Amino acid sequence: MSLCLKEVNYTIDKKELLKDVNIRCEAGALSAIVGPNGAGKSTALKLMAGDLTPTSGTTLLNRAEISSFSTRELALHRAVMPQQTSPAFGLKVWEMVQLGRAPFFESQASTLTYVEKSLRIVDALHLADRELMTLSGGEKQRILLAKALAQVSVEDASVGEKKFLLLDEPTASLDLKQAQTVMKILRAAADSGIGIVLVIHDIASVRRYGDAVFLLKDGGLAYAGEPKSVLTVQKISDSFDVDSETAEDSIGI
Amino acid sequence: METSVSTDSIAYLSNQSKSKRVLALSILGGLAFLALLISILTGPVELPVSAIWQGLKRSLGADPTNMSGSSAIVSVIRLPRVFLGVFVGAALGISGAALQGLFRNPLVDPGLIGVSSGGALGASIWIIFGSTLTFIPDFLMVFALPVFAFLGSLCAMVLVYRIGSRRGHVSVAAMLLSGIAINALSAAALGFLVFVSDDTQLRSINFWTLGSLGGAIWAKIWPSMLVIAGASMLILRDAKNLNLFAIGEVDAKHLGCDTVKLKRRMIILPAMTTAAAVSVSGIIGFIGLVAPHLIRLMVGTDHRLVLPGSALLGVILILTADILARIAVSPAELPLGIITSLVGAPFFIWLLVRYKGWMP
Repeated sequence: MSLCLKEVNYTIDKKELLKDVNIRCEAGALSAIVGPNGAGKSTALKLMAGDLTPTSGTTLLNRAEISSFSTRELALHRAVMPQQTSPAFGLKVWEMVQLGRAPFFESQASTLTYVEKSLRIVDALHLADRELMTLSGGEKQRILLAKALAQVSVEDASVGEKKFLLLDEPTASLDLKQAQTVMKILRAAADSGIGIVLVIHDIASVRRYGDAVFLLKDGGLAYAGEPKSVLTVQKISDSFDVDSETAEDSIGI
Repeated sequence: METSVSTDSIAYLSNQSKSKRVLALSILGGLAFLALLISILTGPVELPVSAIWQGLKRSLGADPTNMSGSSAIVSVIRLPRVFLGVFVGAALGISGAALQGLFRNPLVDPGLIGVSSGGALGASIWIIFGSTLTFIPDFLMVFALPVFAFLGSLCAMVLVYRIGSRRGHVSVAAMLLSGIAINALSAAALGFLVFVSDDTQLRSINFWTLGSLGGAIWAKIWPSMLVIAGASMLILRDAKNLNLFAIGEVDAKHLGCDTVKLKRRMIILPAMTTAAAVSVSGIIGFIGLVAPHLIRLMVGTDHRLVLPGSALLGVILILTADILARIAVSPAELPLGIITSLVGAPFFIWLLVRYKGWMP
């Protein structure tokens, strides 16, 4: 079970955003896409989410071409956590998380079980009855994570197919503690069999919690492999164009 | 132990919101029914309550021997008028709610963005030039007026949506401005039609610009009632999709909602209900703005509540306004559109002040 970009090129307005990129993210693993700004990380994530179609090459979800899935089928297999949210009309926290179960035709009781479970995972059960927009930025982020987790949760992780959760810089606006909490939640989700794919700038976190890392530079895949072998001082200072001291700091040694 | 309490708490919140929804819809339904009864009994001739039943029987052809004046008033004058009010109110309420869902914005109303006047324009074109289209078979003729109104509304709708939204983002200012442009265009075209029309045509066109439930007869209103009922049912089926759409177009897509098709439906169906309403009652403004707003303010934002609730509140508002229109300057009658605008426009101004903060 995997989510892959296979020899993918993506060009828009004659600008090559991605060149011949191969990324393979496994279910049950935490895969990170890192790289300097403008390297094409978000584009890669959007391709993997099925939001964009590659100019050439293919996106494969569990070995099937992602364009062969209907919008709803895709929603049964993968969730995307948005960076922020601005609902047109106010809604309660539990109602927001409940929307994560929208693709599934299941009983209301079963939906509520997932809502409750996901809210507990992000430690926000006590916020359930609050208006979403009255929450702080960090709390809102946790609710969005709960919604995404509700979408990829399965009754019994040992059977059934594996699902993927895609996140674009989920920790960018969070303080140290909240960021650590989110990474731990994602680590646990990966251990339960969900494929986690995230774009992230925090290199130390990837080294600590990640299973695989894909380092993009100028639209191409520069390095791929285990975090500790890819995220070295040498390779970071090369790809990010920084001196080795800064690279060392980012690794957090 | 603590676990089971927490599990119950989400279930409790869900149950609570469901019973709130049922209660709200029941109360609205009850009030709508009450408004319907009062509306039947209101008018220049005082009627006993029993006349409603007799008139109803007579309308259904169940009591052909009853020739009393009061049952005739009910079956020939009041019932068509009141039922027209029910359907028009529901149409405006639900299309307002659907359009606010589509634009992801509470400042939308079929009248404000030109969908109503587009419909009036289409209908007027039929009134003036319809007699030249002799190739249409007679049994389709009854649908011609709503169809022309629909084409007008649909053009307006597509235009406003194209101008007002870009890549899923809606600019309120652009949307309202394009509404102004369409309203101006319709007014000019209507003015021209008034100029070239004869006396009877003039009366009909005048009626669209002011809005009224008067003069309703079954033979003229049933096609619109049919269209409104059908399109409203289809809109109600999209309640859950509109809930997803409300949190953002991309997010809705990630949650399995086919947003392209949903948008298409939410452009066509409200245009249909609005046009069907306009073709029989003229332009009645602000019901579509006020009804969904009050529902959200009072009970919540779930479209499974907002859509049917707005329809029911639309009925209540329009019947109440119609009762006022009939008793305010009795025995003369005010055009209904004047009353809804008198109440609705200040409400709109209040909304503008309230939402000033987050308008671009």
